[in-house]
Amino acid sequence: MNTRRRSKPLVTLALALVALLTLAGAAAASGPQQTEQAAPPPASGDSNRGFSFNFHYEYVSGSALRPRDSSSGWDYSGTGCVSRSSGSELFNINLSLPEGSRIDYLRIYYYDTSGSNDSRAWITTYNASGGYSDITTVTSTGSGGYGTRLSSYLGHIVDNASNSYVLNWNANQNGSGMRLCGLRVAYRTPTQDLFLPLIAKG
Amino acid sequence: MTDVLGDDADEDGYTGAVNTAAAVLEPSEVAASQPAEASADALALQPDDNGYRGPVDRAAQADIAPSEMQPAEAPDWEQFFAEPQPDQDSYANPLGLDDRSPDDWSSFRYLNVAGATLRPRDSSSGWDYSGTGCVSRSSGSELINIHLPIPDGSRIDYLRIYYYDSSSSDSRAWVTNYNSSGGYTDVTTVTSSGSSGYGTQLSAYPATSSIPRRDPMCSTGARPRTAAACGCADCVSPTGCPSDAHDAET
Repeated sequence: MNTRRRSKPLVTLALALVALLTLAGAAAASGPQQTEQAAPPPASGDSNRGFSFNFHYEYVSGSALRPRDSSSGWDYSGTGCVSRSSGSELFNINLSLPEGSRIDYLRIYYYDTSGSNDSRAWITTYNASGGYSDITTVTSTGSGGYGTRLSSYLGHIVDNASNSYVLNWNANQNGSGMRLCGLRVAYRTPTQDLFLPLIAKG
Repeated sequence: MTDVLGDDADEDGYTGAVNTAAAVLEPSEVAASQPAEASADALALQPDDNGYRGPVDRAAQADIAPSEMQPAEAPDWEQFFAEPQPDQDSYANPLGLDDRSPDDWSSFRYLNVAGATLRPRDSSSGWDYSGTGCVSRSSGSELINIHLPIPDGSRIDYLRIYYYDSSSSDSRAWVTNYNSSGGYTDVTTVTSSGSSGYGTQLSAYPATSSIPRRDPMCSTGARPRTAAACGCADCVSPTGCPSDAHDAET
C-alpha cells in the first residue's frame, strides 16, 4: 500500500515533465528554426557581424613604394607603376589602418612579362613579441603584361598597439618587365551591435 | 605671415565663390602606356568587391612564403613592459587628465610605424634594412623621416621609440610639425639609450600636445651607424583631430 501511495506522485511528476518537454520542443520548432530556414544561403556577407557591411580600401600606387635599403635602385614605369632597376632588396611602405579593423584581402596590380619569374607582395607585421609575421601574400602570374590577383581570405584584426603594418613587394627580378602598379587592402571597420530594450505588454 | 581662417575655399566658414576646373589640369604624365581594357571576366565582382555574394573560403591560409628569414637574434620588446607604462591605458597615474575632462578624450590609440618604412630626407644619405622591420643609416648625415597621419584635433600624448643601439652615442626621434609659414615645432622627442642592443624608450608627456590646427609634420631619426630605428609608436587620444602635414623623424 505504502508503495502504491508513493508511486502516484512520481508518475504525476514524470507526466508533467514529459508535457513540459513537449511544449518546449514545439515552441523551439516554431521559433528560431523557422528563422534559420528563412536565412539566405552561406555567402560572402556571413561572418561579418561586428564589422562594416561594406569594404573599405587602402589603395597604394606601386610608385609610392621604395627599396628597403639604398643598395637597390628603382624606376618609374609610368601610370603609377614601379620596377626594380638594380640590387635585390624588397620594396615597402607603411600601412596605416584603423584599430580593430579586419583585413580581409590583399590585391596586387602588376605588369608582368617575365616567363620565369613572378613578383610577390605581402602584408607583414613587425610585432611586440619579436621578429615579424607575414600575415598574407599574393603573387603576380603569367607573362601577359598587366594583371591583378587576389590573396586568400585573411580575417586579421588590426592591433596597432602591438604591431606595425607594412606592405612589402619583391620583384624577383630587375627591369621593367616586372612592375608593381598597385596594392589594395580590403578591410572592414568595427561596428557596435546595438540592442533595444525589450518591452513586453501586459 | 597672417592667415585668416575662412577666407579661402578650403577653409571652414568660407562663403565666397568657388572656382570649378573646366577640365583636367596639366597631366602628371603622358598616358601613352595605359593598360588594356579589362575583359568582362575581369570586371565580374570579386571577393574583395562590395556586392559580391559568392562563396568565400575562410579556411586558414597555407604556409606563406616568407618575406625574409627570421633572424637568430630577434628583439623581445615585451620584456620592457613588465609593468603598465604611461602610454598604456592600464597605467595607474595617467597624465593629461587633470587639465582636460577625461570625458573629452578617448582611450589611447596608436600609430605604429616600422623603422624600415622611414627614408632619408635627402638623397645624399644611404640606408640599410637591418632585419625585422629596422632601418639604419649607411652613409651621409641626413635625418630619416615619414609622414605621420593623425586625425584632426587629436592629442599626442607620447612618442615611443623601439631601437637597436650598440653605440656609445644615442639616436633621437621627434614628432615635428612644419607650418606653411616656413617654421617648424618639435612637438616631442625621445632618445635611444645605452649600448646593449634592443630597447625602447618613452618620451615625456609634452607640454603642448594638441595638434595645431594648421601646418604640422613629425619625424623620427637614427643618428649613428650602429643605431637602428626599429619603429616609432605615437599615442594619440582623438575625439576628432587636425588635418595638416605631420612627419616623424629620427
